[in-house]
Amino acid sequence: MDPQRDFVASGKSAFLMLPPEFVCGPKVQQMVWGNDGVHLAVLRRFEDITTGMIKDLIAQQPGVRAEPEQQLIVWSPTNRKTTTVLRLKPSQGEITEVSWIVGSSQMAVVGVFNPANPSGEVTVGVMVVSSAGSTIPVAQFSVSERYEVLPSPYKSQVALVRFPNSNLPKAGSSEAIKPSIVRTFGTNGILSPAFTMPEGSSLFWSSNGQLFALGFERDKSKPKKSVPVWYLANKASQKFERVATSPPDASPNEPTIKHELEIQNLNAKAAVKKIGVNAPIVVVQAETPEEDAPTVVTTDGGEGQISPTYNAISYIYQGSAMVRPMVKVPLEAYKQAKLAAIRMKLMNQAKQVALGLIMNMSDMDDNFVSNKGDWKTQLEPYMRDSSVFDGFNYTFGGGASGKINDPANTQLGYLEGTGGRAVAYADGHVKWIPNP
Amino acid sequence: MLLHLLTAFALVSTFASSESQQHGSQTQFDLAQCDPIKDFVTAKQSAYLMMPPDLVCGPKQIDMRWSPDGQRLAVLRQYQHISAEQIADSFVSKEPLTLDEAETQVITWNVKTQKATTAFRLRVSNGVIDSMDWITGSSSMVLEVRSPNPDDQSGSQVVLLQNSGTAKVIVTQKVDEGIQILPSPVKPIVAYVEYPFVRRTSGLPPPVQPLPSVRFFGVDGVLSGPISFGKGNSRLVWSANGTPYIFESKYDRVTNTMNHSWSFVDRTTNSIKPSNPPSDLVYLAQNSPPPQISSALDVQNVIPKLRLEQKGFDAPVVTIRANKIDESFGLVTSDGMKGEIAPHLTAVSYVSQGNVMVRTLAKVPLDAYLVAKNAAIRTKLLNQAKQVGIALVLNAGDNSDNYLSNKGDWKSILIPYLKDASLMDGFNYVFPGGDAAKISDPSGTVLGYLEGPGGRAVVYTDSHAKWVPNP
Repeated sequence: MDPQRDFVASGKSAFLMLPPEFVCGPKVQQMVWGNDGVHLAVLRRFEDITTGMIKDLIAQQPGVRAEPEQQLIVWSPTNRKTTTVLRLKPSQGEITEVSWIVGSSQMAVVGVFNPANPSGEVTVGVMVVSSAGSTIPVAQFSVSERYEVLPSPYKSQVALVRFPNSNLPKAGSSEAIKPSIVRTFGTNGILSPAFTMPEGSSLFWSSNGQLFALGFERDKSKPKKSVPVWYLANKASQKFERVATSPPDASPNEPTIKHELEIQNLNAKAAVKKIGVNAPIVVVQAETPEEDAPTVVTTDGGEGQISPTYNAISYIYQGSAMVRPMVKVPLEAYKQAKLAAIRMKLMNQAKQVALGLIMNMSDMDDNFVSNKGDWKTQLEPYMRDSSVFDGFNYTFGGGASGKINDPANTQLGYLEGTGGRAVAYADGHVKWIPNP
Repeated sequence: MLLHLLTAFALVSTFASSESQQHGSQTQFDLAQCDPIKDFVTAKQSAYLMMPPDLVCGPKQIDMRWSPDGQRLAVLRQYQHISAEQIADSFVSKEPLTLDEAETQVITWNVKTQKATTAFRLRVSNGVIDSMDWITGSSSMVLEVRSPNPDDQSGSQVVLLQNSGTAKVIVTQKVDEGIQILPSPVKPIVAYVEYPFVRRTSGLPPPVQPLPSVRFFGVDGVLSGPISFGKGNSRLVWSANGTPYIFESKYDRVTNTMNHSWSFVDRTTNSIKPSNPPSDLVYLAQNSPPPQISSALDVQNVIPKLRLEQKGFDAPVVTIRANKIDESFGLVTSDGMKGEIAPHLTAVSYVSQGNVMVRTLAKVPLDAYLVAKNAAIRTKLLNQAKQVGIALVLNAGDNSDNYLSNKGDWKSILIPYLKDASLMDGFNYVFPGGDAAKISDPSGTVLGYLEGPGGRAVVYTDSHAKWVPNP
């Protein structure tokens, strides 16, 4: 762990990013975090390609290839385990959309499926898929129909809207607009009775699990102005009934979360031996950062997403899905640990310079180099890296070491740090001296 | 940009295969997200494709070793289970954490099956793995395991780790004796060299030191009888063709020179016979790199600085490039270090944020690769030209069917019509502009073109694009 590189600190707490874990191999299509941060769903295409197949391909020769498949994979930050939940051959269909059902380990999965019926008709299906791999079929449409899956951001409920008209009737046509139908389902996949949606309305979930529709109508006093009208799905009457006031929390479709951390996906350029390298970078920074610079998650990855509970960051690394688990630590404890680490680094650095000075002294007939001249150049051969001199204050005047009475208490020099100094002594030991 | 290339490559690949096979029975082959430029390295006669990376094992690796045939990678790592909660606790509590005992693991990864196996586990309290070597031409390894207690006088154990996963102790180092484990560079044979040492007892004259000796064992772990050799400073070396030699250096006090002599170990008669120095290359020391074989590919590990919004980042970059060909290089990763190419160029291994990763290499004929690469570039240019063409046509439609003049700043006017302004890079807008109705032959009137390898991607006023080879 590197206290500076692997942490991101906000005004409230600090998060430690652990080394990345490999979720699954290349060709990742979609990654979706569950709302509770307990599961990550990854949709990928998998093809078993051998190097021999590639040779055939490049040489434009036909070859035998394994049938590709689509995989739905679930990864959990709590046990850090990967499970392949579903495998689909192209002949069986293709998943197009995955969303988690809030508060459960089940997903609402939409796909184009080709059931083995004689007509070979392609249908769109909605399923509830558990992270253990069991599937419950929910509904089927023909491909020409439009549909929408709208999971509640608060409760284990999903609204399924069916638009009977695939295209709106042309202007002037006598064809009536058929009303849209909405049904809801939970983790058991059982559909509720159908509700007819008010014309031109859109759906919203409220935090207490009620389904609202928002429509507009002309203001009677000002005919040119539209006013919002709220409807509530009433289970008893199986109708959307007009309500007088807007629900307190249903207006935004996403719960308003104050984001403590933010992910940025960037692209940087570096020059390697005159050749430009594109480095896709994922960085994370707090909304109210403790430090200026963002923390690098990876310099070779994109599509970074942070889990809603801040327990992991997922990203795509050269096509593979990776996750860095995160640990929340109290800000004070992190600051102390960081200071201790910086202190340790400064003390090591001071010790290296001190050893260099002492080695040079014994090579110079027991004479310390003078701190007036260019002592750094003279010490360079004794150092692995001349950057260790950076910031070192060589306070000892130089001269014969024999004249030093008490080497353990004679200061050679020091490095300034936060709240104190790393002081090196003439016997080569280093001590942290807090500022008075 | 990358995405376009990928799609372009996918298109070309599909096109190429459906051409060679009259009926498009093949499903689309998009090379598993490979980039025709970034993921290939070209050498003199071949190109190498780097496959997407595979995980070998998690962090804390100590040593990595490719088998001499390049088919297996062995990683020595330390593993300790620590949960996120325990890490969080460690920041708050002043008490040291109580953790499960750490263990040292040997993990092997197979290029053919692309699978990692934990071949050996050793609790830290049971021993420390000092060295790890492949036995040439086999899938077995030899380990040197030492007591974790530094005061323990007992010697190391030489452990044979067989492919089946069984580990057996072949021999235990004697007290005060120095040992060397030297696998043959060509055969599945290992030399076990012992340098015995007798301590001097105080009050007695210095004891006569016994001679060093060598024993051999194969993948069955059966040791041959000891063969003593040398008197002064002698050591065993394998010649490149797999003959064990003894190299002896003696200091001559009279002439003040070092005298070297060679002899070879005759395993049929269990004896040492004087010989000429071996004519081929030798391994001179344990753990020294194999003799310099000129390899078609080289690996570079560099850490350039990335500048991003006034901030600097270090991106550890691993690249491979063909030996002595500077123009072409393949980017293995921009977040990794310790890159190493497997013998026989089967794969590249590296460490990315502590994890050991491998990208398998596929060798393809250079000509075929260049054809595929040029086709991919062409498809990309054609797509790009078509997009600019469509933008010009759309803009004309919005201006009562009047094309933009190619004299003025047509690029900034077109920006709203394009997904990305960089699509206009390199586009030569040759049509002078004006009323579209005056164009008599829209499919034969050139709007503009993009220059490419061996030709141009030309887009016409009906917005179709065509590749026109250079005359």
